[in-house]
Amino acid sequence: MDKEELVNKWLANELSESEKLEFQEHPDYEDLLKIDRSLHWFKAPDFDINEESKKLAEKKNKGRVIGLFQTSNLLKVAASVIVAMIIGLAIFIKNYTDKPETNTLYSHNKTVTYLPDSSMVRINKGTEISYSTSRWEEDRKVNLTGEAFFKVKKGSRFDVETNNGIVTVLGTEFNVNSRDSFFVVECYEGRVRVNTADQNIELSKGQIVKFINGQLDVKMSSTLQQAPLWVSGESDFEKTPCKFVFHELERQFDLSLSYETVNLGKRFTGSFPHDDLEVALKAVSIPLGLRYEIDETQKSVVFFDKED
Amino acid sequence: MANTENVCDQYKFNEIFKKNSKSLYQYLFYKYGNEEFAKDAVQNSFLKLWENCKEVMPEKAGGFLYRVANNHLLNTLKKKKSFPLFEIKTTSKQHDHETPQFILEEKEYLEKLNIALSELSEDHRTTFLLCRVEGKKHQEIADLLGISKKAVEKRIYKTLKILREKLKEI
Repeated sequence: MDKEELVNKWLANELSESEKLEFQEHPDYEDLLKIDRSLHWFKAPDFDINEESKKLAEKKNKGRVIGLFQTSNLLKVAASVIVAMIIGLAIFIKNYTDKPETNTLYSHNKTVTYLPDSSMVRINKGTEISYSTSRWEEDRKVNLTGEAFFKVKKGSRFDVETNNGIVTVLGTEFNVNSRDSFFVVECYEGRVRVNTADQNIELSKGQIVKFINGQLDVKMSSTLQQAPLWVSGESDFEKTPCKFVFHELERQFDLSLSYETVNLGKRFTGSFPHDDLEVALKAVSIPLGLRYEIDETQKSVVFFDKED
Repeated sequence: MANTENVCDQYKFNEIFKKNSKSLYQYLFYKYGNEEFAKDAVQNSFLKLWENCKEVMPEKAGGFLYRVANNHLLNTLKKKKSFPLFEIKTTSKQHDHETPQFILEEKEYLEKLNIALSELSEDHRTTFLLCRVEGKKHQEIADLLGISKKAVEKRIYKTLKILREKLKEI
């Protein structure tokens, strides 16, 4: 049977048993099945006919009252002419003021976005990025406050500017974490150059550099992952001062964390998951020798040194 | 002899709503990827239908509704269209037994699929998704979109081919 006919029969659920076997021999069989299986993620959210009908009824009734004051047709025409003139003027002004268009994104949840050249950026919670859409071709520059994982399309120079320093990319995949006094760059593929106020460091695949309060804290090679763990729902740290771990806990779980009596010199090596608060709190508190208390709302946590 | 052939009759109007509103919403959602806009556009179309009830015959109501909805959204979405079109909501609970690498690959696949779907022509995308996601029969879709059953079949086949090509690229 002709390949197209076979696929069409599959699509219409009309394959006989023998045709089903034939279809499994189709070179694209697995690809086609995978696509079909994945489509449910794109299903339209529910539409409740009764609810929508009620909404419509309300609007219809409002309309009837306003209908008493219907404007005449002449006024309507005059209004539309004025609107047209204003729009025309606005377009005229826009074309002659030539302001660069900037796109700014703030993430309340982990999200992913694509830059004008299809470079991919995964953004962690509580992160803001911005970049110029109109000037993108000449100048690939992204401003970042927070944490993001970049997959950059080959091309001209690509910069990520943060308050802690600038990361220049030499074609690649890397993670930048810039939060207040904590600045970490991890290179997963290719090479990046990191410029801070007084340091200029080049990283190759598998290397990480960490700055605390502007001072170089560590540069090392890590066990090679393909991408940062936070992307798949876990935050991981290596010899990181505990304060920054607490901040990430706060962000991921929308918490308010107190740690007044905790010795902030303690460093944490380990990880915590994003989907279970109790597990996360234990994962952090146990290695640090702390105990914790959560209030009933699950939104407020206090850490105490065990020795207290 | 009946003298109200149009849709000004409350009962007739409600029947038209029951019959067409959900399909219209789904069509608009798959076309523009936005739930809020789609629902608003459905409300707007039916309001307009009611306002113009004297001039519209019941059998022409469907066409009227789709025309109004498309015009309405074309204007509203000029600046607000997002790319890719769809928002994929995954929960971590489904990934108990899988490695981070696998989860990452799945996410990336869905993102690629999202982009590929968003890059399709509106006709291809709506026809394809109404069939494969909503399970509408070819004839149903043909009636909805005012094309032949054969045309629907061809669109779906072509779309599948395009998607397969795009997803093959690494």
